[in-house]
Amino acid sequence: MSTIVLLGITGLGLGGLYFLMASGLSLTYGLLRVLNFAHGVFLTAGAYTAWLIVSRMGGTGPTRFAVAVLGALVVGAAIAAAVEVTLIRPLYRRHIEQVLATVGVALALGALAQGIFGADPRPVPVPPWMQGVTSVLGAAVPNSRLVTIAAGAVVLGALGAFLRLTRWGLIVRAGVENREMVQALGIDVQRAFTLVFALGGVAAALGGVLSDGYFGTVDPARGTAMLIYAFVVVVIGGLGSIAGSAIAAVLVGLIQQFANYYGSVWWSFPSSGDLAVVLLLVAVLLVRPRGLAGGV
Amino acid sequence: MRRGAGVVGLLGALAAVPFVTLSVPVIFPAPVNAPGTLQLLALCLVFGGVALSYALLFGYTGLLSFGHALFFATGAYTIDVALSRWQWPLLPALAVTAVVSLILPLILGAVALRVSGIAFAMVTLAFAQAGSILAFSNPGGLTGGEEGLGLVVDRLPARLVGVVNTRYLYWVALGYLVVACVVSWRAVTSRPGRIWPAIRENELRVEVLGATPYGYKLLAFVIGCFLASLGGIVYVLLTGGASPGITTANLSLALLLMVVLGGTGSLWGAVLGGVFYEYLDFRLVALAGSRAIHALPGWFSVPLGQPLFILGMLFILLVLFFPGGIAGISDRYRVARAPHRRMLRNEEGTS
Amino acid sequence: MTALLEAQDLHVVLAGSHILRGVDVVVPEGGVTALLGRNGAGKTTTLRAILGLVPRAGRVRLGGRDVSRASTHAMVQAGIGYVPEGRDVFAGLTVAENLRLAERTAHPRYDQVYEIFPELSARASQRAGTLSGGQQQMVAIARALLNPNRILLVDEPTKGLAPRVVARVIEILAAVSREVTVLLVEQNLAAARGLARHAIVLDQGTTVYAGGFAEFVGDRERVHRHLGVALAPAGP
Repeated sequence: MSTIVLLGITGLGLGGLYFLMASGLSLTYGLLRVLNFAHGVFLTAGAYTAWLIVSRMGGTGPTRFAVAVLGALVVGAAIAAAVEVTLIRPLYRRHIEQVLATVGVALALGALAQGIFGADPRPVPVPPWMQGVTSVLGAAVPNSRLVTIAAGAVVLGALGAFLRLTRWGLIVRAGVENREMVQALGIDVQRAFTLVFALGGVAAALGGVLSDGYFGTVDPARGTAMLIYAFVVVVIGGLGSIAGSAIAAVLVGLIQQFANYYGSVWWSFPSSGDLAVVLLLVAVLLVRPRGLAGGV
Repeated sequence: MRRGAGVVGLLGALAAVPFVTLSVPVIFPAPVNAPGTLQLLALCLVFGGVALSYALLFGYTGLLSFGHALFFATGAYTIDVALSRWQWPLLPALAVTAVVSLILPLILGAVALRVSGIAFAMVTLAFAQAGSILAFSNPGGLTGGEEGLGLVVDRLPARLVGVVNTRYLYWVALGYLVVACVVSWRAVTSRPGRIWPAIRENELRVEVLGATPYGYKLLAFVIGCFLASLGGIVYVLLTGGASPGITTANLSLALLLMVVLGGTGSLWGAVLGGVFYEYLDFRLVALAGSRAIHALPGWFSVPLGQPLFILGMLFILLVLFFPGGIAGISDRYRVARAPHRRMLRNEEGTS
Repeated sequence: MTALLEAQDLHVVLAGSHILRGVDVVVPEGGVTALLGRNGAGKTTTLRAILGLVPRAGRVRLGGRDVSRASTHAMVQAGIGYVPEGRDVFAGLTVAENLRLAERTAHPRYDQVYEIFPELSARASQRAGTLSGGQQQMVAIARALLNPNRILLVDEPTKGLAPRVVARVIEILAAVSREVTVLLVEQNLAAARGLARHAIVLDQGTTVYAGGFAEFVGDRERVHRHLGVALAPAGP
């Protein structure tokens, strides 16, 4: 029983990380119709910023953690906004070229991270409260998983509030449906583009910080590795749908966790989960090409 | 007629390369007919062919596949497994690889092409990722996992083994490129082949005209993927083994880069793009380790020491300023000035 | 009479077809100008080209000022209301949200809008996707009326609507056109007849007539040649 609880919560935690990446990807595709391959870089940027801050600052208290998170969010937003303004905007309406430009960014900045920090994962001084373990239904669950779940839930709520309650959120929702008509109502959709990109950067960077705690290490390849699963989540959940991404993230995280574990135990195939998730994507796309939420 | 003579001349020149003893400093690490240079040139030819195979799908028919590396790797791993794990002689090994390389894209393509656009791209990405997972996890000890599978050369003809025989492998690579070009040429000039650009432009129109695009797309898919697998076979012979790195999205994206570099939509451009990219990749790795780079201050040596950084930046500059790629540069001199003619040329970019 | 909106030599190429081949549009200030032409002549494309929603070559002037290089949203901000073919209301948003999105000034004219369309006030929190075609058309027109516009570009507002609704739409447009210039694309000649003072006719991607509406409609042969319809004589 406690194994199941542990697997379940770990899966949810992983799902939380996926959601943090997927939310930005989903909105970006919904509004800009661009598959942002550079999204993994935002996560990596957040992860390394947090790691740098935490390594340089003394003490182990919450201040250090708060500064690390804040720093990561700022860096994530800045890089995302920069990418949008310098690359996406000039290529307005040329969607294939925009995607290609993000591929270039992913390659270049990924390599840069590797060059600066080295290709090997480095240990992260994780705050003790994150390292600790809480008993849940008889299972000893690492706190980092719970933190990630909480963060995912908070971001989901915040994004939902932004979309439903603010004018920019209204513009984004309308733009996902029909951005041409939004333009035709006299609204400069370009600014919404930058905003959405930046929001995605923030969420992904947060994911980066939490992945430091989740895995205990910082790794230049993690952004790219997670990007693939984030894509899977986004497509299964329906491009452009935040709620869809949330549900899909939970689904993918759980399936991956359980299948990896039981695959390893029953068939000595610890990648069963990874495989299962990928095949799930194919299955969903064949049955509902627009994803679960019937996105754009 | 003149074009035919030009092609034959080019072929002759390429075939004669292993007899050239020139040294070209900076461009090549050693004299042209040295094994190291020949291997580099051979790899360039191979990737020229693989890029061409991808261009058939993406540039020509408009099928944006993110998993082309899977088929390249299929050719590589299948021949490697047949020769090294099962110890088969060369001909049966080639035969089984050819069969697998035809059947796999037929099955996967039949499934993937039931959707189109982004969904299709994602399905191909998913299939490739599945392949990559399998390669890394070494099922049944077949693929050698992370370390890859070194090629066991006992069953290979003596001519293809050993550094001193690199020239023969070079000619095999050239032969592959020629085959790829000939097959592509016959394919695009055939009756089904002429529907492909129409599918790329406007699939709806093709349907309205009474043709079902599905069969044509599947044909393009199978041909392109098969050619990529052939390239994988030559690759394994050239590099002495298959490693899981060739199954990753990195290679699929590199192929995308090659086609874009050559000019999306241009088949001969893709060949050049593949050749040029592979050359750059190789040389940049050497450059990265060089003393000249290390001597530079940190700001420069770190990014320049990463070949992928340079390639990524190159790609960005390409997309921003030379969207037509290599083929586009020659196009520019031929476009008239009238605004609506320029529009006719550019309007592919509208949403 | 001064031209409020002028477009010169518009060229538009879409999906490989040269749809507009040098269209000229001159909309005089005041009243309704009908943009006529048979199916596929390029009427909707012309409106979209004026707004810059499709890539185009040619010049556009609004109130004498050259806006050829202006972005769509800037042009709209300068005082254009667009009521597109197919309404293009945001299905996932409520009626109130659809209207709120259209607000451009600090004092949107909700009073006026709700007076003309009381049902929109009643259905404010209904999702626009669940409205009937006629109701969606009301939302589309209401959006354009919220702001003080100099000209409205209205594309086939009566298409696919029940006769009763069609009559209402025409009535509203007639009232609106007393204060705002309207460029109306309308396939339904009978509907345009009650409204339009001027006419611009497109055929094969160029302008073949620009002048009085009644004068054009009176010439049966011309109507048949360019529109492919036979028009019944005007009723009493």
